Amino acid sequence: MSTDQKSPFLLLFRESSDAPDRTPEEMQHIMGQWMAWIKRLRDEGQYVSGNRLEDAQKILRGKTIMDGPFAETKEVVSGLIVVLAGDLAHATMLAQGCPGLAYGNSVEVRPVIPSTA
Amino acid sequence: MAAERASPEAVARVVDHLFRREAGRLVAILGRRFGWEHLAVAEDVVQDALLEAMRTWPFTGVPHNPTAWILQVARRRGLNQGRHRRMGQGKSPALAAWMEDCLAGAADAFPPRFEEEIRDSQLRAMFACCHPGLPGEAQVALTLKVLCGFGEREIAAAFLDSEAAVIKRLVRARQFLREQRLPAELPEAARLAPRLEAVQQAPYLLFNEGYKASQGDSLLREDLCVDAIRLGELLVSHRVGDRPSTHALLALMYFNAARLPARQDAAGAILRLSEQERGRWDQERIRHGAAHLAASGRGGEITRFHLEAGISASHALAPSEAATDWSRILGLYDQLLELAPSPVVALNRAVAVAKCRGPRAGLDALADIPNQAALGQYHLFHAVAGELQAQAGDRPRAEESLRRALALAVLAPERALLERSLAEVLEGA
Repeated sequence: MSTDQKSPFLLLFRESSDAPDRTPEEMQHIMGQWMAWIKRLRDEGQYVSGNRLEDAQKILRGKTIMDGPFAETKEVVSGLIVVLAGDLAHATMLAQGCPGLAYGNSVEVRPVIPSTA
Repeated sequence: MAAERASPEAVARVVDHLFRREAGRLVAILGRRFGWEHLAVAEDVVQDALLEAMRTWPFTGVPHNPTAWILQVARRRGLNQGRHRRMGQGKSPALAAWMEDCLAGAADAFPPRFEEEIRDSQLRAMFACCHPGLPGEAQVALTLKVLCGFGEREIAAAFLDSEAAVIKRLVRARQFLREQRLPAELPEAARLAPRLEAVQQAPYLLFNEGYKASQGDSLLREDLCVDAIRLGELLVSHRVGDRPSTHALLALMYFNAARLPARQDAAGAILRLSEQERGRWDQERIRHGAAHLAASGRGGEITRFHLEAGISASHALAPSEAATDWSRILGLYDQLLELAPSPVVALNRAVAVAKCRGPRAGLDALADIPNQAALGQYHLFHAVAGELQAQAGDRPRAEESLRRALALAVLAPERALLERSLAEVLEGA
């Protein structure tokens, strides 16, 4: 399969701000699932890049600047990855492998329009 | 790029139990710096930093020095983010400044001084957790939480207790330490000596939990055993802990741990003692066990650890199952039953009786166990009864016992072994 028919998609992870406490062993287990998932994407040539986003945030609106994260916000964006997929359905299928889904996280899938042809 | 052969699961395995280990190291070092009365704060800071590691490392990989990474994150995040902010603890600037000092001090310490500090902190933490003012079960729960990175759920599973009960126990224990305002430094040896017995219980229970593994799919949670040995070694390295009874405890753990690699076959099925390949027993652990057993004999004192180490040594040092000195083992069980009577010890003694005097005598010994009710729900009681009834040629009773054991057993490998025994009985071999 050639990769030039694939285009980039952004996977945006949101996690609940009131996630239950996890034991170190459980945290390690979840991390292992994430690592395995990312490795699988990488091995199949679908992974472009990915980052964790820290919780600290500033929100600017007009002239106001607010400090986050906000206690009242139910979900916070926790990270993102860019994958290569054939189309939105394919990218969605890849996103279904995200281990966070089993722990109450959500994934938003967005086609990325390349900035250059 | 060269072909990557490792499966995704293997990649995840590389860092096995790293979180538990780091939690145990970091809570001890921060607890000491913050003071034991602020243990809960130390736990929160570490929990928050571990959570951050869990979310970051999938993208960055596990850092070369995880401890330093976690400490830096803890320092950067401090009280101002995550749990602490939500818990409203970040309000006091004085507290925040003092925490920043403690965290900076911990994060700036470099190896090997740092490793030394962790070691020292963990030893202090062991004695703080096993404060004589705390009930025994709280001491052990706190040790598992603070030194071994166990969660409430895991402690509950280890003690067949509810999670709510464990949480309550830990809350009270932390409250007690807060009220005690324990100094970070250790009290003098004379005042620590009475605490030694409680401190020894923690590795002992931890080891047993790993050895029998009441939770999860894996029968052998070898890491728990390794952790328990680590705590035992830590204890024996201190002049207060360097007692014959601690050596006996280490001997018993090493001898039992030596047999771990042979207890399961390649598919994870349990092997009976007679089926185990003795060549796979870990000779280095046996050597350590023997050295500690020798050191345990220096005093006149005989503890249950001495007796259990003696039993375990009889197995580990026997060249074959046939050459096992069962009468010596039975003698040790007799003493153990006198020193620390329990239905489980009595059950194990019945197996030794059967080995010495035949299955009928073993069944009589089972029937003689006082307080039978305590064993009624214990699958191994019925499993032992079934094996002995089968050996005695009583197939209908054997079948009944094994079926009862199967109804009570939870772990897949244990169930598989029972199914195998049952099939053997039904075949009427």
